This record gives sequence, structure tokens and C-alpha cells, in this order.
Amino acid sequence: MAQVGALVWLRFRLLLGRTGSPALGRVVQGIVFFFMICGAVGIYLVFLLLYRALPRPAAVQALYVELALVWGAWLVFPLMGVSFDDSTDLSKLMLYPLSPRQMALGMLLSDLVSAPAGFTVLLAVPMGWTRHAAQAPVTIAAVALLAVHVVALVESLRIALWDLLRSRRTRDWLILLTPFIGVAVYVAQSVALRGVMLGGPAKWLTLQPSHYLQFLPSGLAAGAVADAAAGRYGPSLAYLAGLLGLAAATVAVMAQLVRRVQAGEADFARAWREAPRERRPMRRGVALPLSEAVATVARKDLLLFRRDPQLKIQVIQAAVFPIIWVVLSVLWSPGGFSGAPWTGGLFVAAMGFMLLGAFMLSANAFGFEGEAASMLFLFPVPRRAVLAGKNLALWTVLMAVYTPALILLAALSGQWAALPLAWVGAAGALLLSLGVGNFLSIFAPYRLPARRQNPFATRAGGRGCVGFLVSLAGYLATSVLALPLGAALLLPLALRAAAWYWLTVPVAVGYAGWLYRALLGWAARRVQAREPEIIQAVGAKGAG
Amino acid sequence: MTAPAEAVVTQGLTKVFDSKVAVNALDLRVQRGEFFGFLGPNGAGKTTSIKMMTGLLRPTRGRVWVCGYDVQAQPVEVKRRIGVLPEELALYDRLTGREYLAFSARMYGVPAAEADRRTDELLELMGLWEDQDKLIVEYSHGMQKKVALAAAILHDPEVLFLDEPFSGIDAISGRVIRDVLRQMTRRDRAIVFSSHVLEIVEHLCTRVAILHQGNLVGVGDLATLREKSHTEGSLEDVFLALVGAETDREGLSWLK
Repeated sequence: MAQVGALVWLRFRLLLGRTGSPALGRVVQGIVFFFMICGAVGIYLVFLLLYRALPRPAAVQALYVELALVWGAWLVFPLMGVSFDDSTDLSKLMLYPLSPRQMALGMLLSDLVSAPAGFTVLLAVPMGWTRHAAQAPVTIAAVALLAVHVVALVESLRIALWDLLRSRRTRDWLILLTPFIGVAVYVAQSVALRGVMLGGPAKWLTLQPSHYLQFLPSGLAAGAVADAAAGRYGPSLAYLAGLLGLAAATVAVMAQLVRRVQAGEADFARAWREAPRERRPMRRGVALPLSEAVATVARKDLLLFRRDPQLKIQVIQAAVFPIIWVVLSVLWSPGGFSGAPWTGGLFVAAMGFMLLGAFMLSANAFGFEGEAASMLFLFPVPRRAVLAGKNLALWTVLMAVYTPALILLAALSGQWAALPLAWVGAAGALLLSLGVGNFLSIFAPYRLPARRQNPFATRAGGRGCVGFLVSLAGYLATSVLALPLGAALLLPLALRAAAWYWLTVPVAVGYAGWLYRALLGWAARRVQAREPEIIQAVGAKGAG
Repeated sequence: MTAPAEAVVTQGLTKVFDSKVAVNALDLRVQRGEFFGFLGPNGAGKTTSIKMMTGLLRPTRGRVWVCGYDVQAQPVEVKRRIGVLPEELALYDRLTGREYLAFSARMYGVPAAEADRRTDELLELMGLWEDQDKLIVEYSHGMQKKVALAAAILHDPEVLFLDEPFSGIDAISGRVIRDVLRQMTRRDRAIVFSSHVLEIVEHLCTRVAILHQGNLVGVGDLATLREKSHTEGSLEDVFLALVGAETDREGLSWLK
């Protein structure tokens, strides 16, 4: 058992060990753990309340939903984490004299004890459905067998899909996908709440989720619990026997896979093993009226934005998510897109949100470089060119995202006439944001999340509270500097004097360009003196 | 003070991290055309010294001149003249090998046609021709090191700083790289070279500096170091004597 205990300890140690500096990391991990458990307790209480308060048919539907949610989450999240999680790397355990039984048992126990949130949510089932002593063994057994089945299934899939799950491409896709899960949960939650508010509890009953969810393994557990609660012990035990068989079969498959791995026969997913892909050689592209250094840095950054999922997701989070939020908020507001409160301020609100996201990017220009910042600063080019090249790339990328977003808003609201002005406003405000952001990039740089870390993990770099306040101050400064720009674009609209645009639009563009140029010059003069500090701040490790 | 004409000069170069002195008052002079070895046990301060010499780390005290330019005061002039292979490779791993070299060449201002010619030659020489259009993230560690080395020498620098250049490099490429480096020193280029592989240092370097716990404990050619250490053996014997390593330990008690 000592070896099995060591495997369980290893899982815990590596889960906790993802935090960076030991002391602060433990605190952050503790806070995350606390909130995770709070969330789980919240879900537990919701279901417990549903089980106690709802009429029996509706409570049964809730039971099917809860067990399916736990089953799905327990299956999906660990599999997504494989790409980033060394604690599940079987190949590293192959060196030790572990029997297949010890290894399988160690993996099962590690998975079971390292998912306290899953257990907390599951606890609602025995707490909510045990009315008589006779029901207790059934509910507890159903929940326990479901947990054993799902962790054995996860481990089997981990082993069988190891190469695929650990491949760089999967990791890249997961980096992109993970934030979308948060958005999907937000949208699903909003849709569900809206549905309940509009349709009432009666609609919930008519949906009958159990019709669909009964075919999942969680459906067997739900059937066992629901029938036992109704006093139908025969069907309940039949469900339980089915679940026992399923759990035993899954454990057997897992044990077989572990044995094959130990025997050196595991070469699963060979067909999926990635072959490095040949890239088209970089073209020199259109000759830009820029210095060679500016164009080279800009081209390099554009390539990285295209290929690096970490950078892509930063842009998506900064620009696309605010748009989704704005569109949903307006869509579900009482008047929708035709509502009077939105018609005037829609673009301004959307741009404000987008620019807030953009500012977080523009205020950490060297954070994208990571450790490569040390190479960038080795090049003998004027630092103004480096900043200008990086700004140009980010401006291009963000405008490529903003433009369709603004077109979408115009289409939804029918405000086509405002589109050109909104575009000019976004382009100019973004320029100012880059100008101010350069100062923060130099004086308050920070490390972006490490590329090969778990996207769910807490070690994500970042500025901390003080840094956040500095960023906020920078954003407010940008907003103040953008006031003349906004005035130039909005005043003719407010005064219904469209002819004024012939004067105000060139003035607005000129103002933004002039101010950016001035800010760039001031910032560029300060880069060189701060290079060692920037390298230390944005790299994975300090100098040593 | 008049700027020195040597390839690299350090004067009282010191770096203190918190309370730990990583490099203590390092005084060095590296001549042009010299193959200068930098030795020391782990944590001796070699990498920190190289980072300060290349302007990647600000010294706590002291000054560095490279080709007569002050690293702190004239960093761009210095960077124009140096090539660096850092110990921790810091490459843009989402560029291909060829793209990375093209990017480096442009940043050093190498004309496009010449950059293409040199890139082709370097890719061929380093054995990377077949993999030139794959992303660097897909390269092995040895291949990444070769790309970084190629980028460091592509602009024909006057001084080349190499931190552990041969770790992870196969024997054939290692031989090719050694020949290229010798060729560079014949053209009056200086190479400052740190390694743990003493045989390579003994084989290649004209002079060696030995650091121990941040202090310079010896500098000179092998004969000078032998004299200083009162040892007649190889560079390894000299090195062990100068850093005061205990080699006569009795080993592990449970293996006796």
C-alpha cells in the first residue's frame, strides 16, 4: 500500500505544486480551493433544495440532471487537463517497480480523492433522497459506483488517447477552447434562467430531461435512487446491478490498459500521432512605407498572433467576449436592439468595453514576448522601431476583430450610418490606448500565463492588485485623452450637423495620430534603461 | 576613462541578488581573435556574468566594455557587434527555423539577398535543411540550440557569447560548429564561451577564466593556470584544484 499511497501523494503534490512562489502560491491555491468548494456547496444546496421543495416528478428530473452534470464534468475536465497535467503521466511511473494492480489502484484513488468538488455536489443525492434507512445503502452505493465508473473511464481514455491528448495541437486547441467554456456556461445559464423566468417551473417539467439522460451511465444511478425513493426496490436493485456491472467492466478495461502499458505494448492512438507540419516559407509581403525594423517586428508579431494560441485567446478575450456580452445584454433587454436607450449609446458602450480589453493587451507589449524578450533586446535596432512594430501588429489584429464586430452591431441595430464613425473612433481610440499602454509596458510589465500550464491552474502571471489599479489608471488616462476624439465624432451627431464631419473627422484622426506619435517618442526613450527589468518581469525566471 | 580597445573588458563587475553575491568584482580582458573559456561549478556566476556583458542584466556595480563601447551607456552599439547564445534558449517557438533566421537577419540589418544566402548556408551546415519550414516548437532541444547558434553568428558578430553551446548537440554537428567557431577566431572575432565540458574548453580555448562562488579564482592559458594551481595535470585537475573541490570523499556509506 505504500506505493499506492505514494501515487496519491504525488497527485496532490503536483496539483498544489502548480503554484509559483511557495508562500503566495499556497495562499492563491487556498483561495481558489475555497471558492471551488463554495461553488460546489452552492450547487449542492440548490439541488438539495430542489429535491426537498419540488414535487416528486420534477425532483426526479433534477436528479437526472445533477448526476449527468457531475458525470460529464468529471469526465471532460480531467481529460482536458491531461495536456497540462504531469501528475497523470504514466510514462514517468514506468520506471518504478509497480504492479499493474498497484498502478491502477493508485490512479483510481488519486482521481477519487483529488475531486472534492465532485463529491460535494454528489453528496446532495444521499442527503436529499434518503427518507428511510433502507434507502441509504442504495443511494450511497449508486453515487459511489458512479464515481468509480467515471474515474475508471477517465483513466482508460487517458491511457488510450495519451498521444492525442498530450500533443501540442490538442494543447493549443484546449488553450483556445477553455475560455469559451466559461462563455458557453454564461450563455447557457442566461438562457436557462430566462427560460425559467419566461416559462415558469411548468416548462421545466415538460422538458423531461430524464428521457435523454437515462441512457447515460448517470441515468442508471439516477434510476436506482429514484426507484428506491418511490419504494420500488426491485427496479432500483436492477439499476444498481447494471451500474455495478458497468463500473466493474470499466475498471477491468482500465486494468487491462494499464497492463498493456506496463508490458510496453501501449502504442495507442498511433494514427493520431502528429507529424510536424511544414509551413509555407514567410513571404516578404507588401513593401510597407516603414523602416525595415518596424516592418520586421510587426511581421513577426502578426505571425505569432496567427500561430500562438495563447496570443489568439488574449485577443479573443479582449475583443470578442465583450462583444458577445454587449450583444446578449442588448438582445435580452426589454426593448432589444430597437429599444430607445440603446440606439444612441450602443456603439459607444461596445467600444468602451472593447477598448478596456484592448488596453490590457496594449499595456503589456513585452509580456507577449515572454523569455524571448531577452533576444528582442539583443537586436541593435532603435527601441522606437520595436515599439512601433509591436503597436502596428496589435492595432492591425485588433482592428481586424473590431471591424466585423462593429459591422455585426450595425446590422443588429440597423445603425449603418454610425458605422464609419464608430470605425474611425475605434481606430483612433485604439491608437491612443497603444500610446498610453507603451508606458505601462515599460514601467509595469508582467508575465503572461505560461504556455504549457493548465488553463484551469492558478499560476497565471498577472499584475496583482496594485498592477490592476495602475492599469485602471492607464485606462482612465486613455479615456480622458480620447475625450476630444469622442467629441469630434459625436458632437455633429448630437447637433444634427452632418456637414461638420468634413472638418471634425480629419481633426479627430490628426489628433489621435499626433498624440500617439508624441507618446511613442516619450516611451521609446525610456525602453533602453528598463530592458533588464522588463526581461526579468516578463520571462519565466528571474536572472540568475 | 578612455574606452578600451579589447573585445571585452570588465571592471569590478558585481551582481548581488538580494543578499547573495552572484558575481564579485570581476575584472577580465578578452582580446580580439581570442577563444576565451569561462569555467565554474554550477552557480559560480558564469551565466550572470555573460548576461551582464551582453546588457541583459544590470550590474550592481562595475562596468563592461565590448569593442570599446560601454554596455550600459551604448547598448545598441554593443548589440550591433555581438552575437549571443543564451543558456536558456529564448526563441520565438511559433516561427519556423527559416523564419527565425530571416527575422534575426533583418533585425541586424543584413541585406535581404545576403541574409538568404547566409541562412541557406547555416541551415545546411547545422543539418536543419530538411526541417527549416517546421515550427521551432516542434524541434528537439538540440535543433533549437542549433537555430539559436545560427542566429547568433548569422550577422558575423565581432564578439560571440556562447553559454553552454554544445549541450544537446550531436557529435557531428558539434564538430562542424567547432570548426566554424575556429574559423571565426581566425577572422579576429572573439568568442567568450562557457561550458561544463572541460575537454572541449581545453581543446578550443586559448585562455580560460575560472569562477567559483562569484569570484575569479584563476585566469590565463593552461600553463599559467597550472602554475597558479601548482598542478601539472589536465584542465580538469587544474580546475578542481583552483575551486578547492574535495574529490577524495569516500562515497556513499551504504555502497561500501
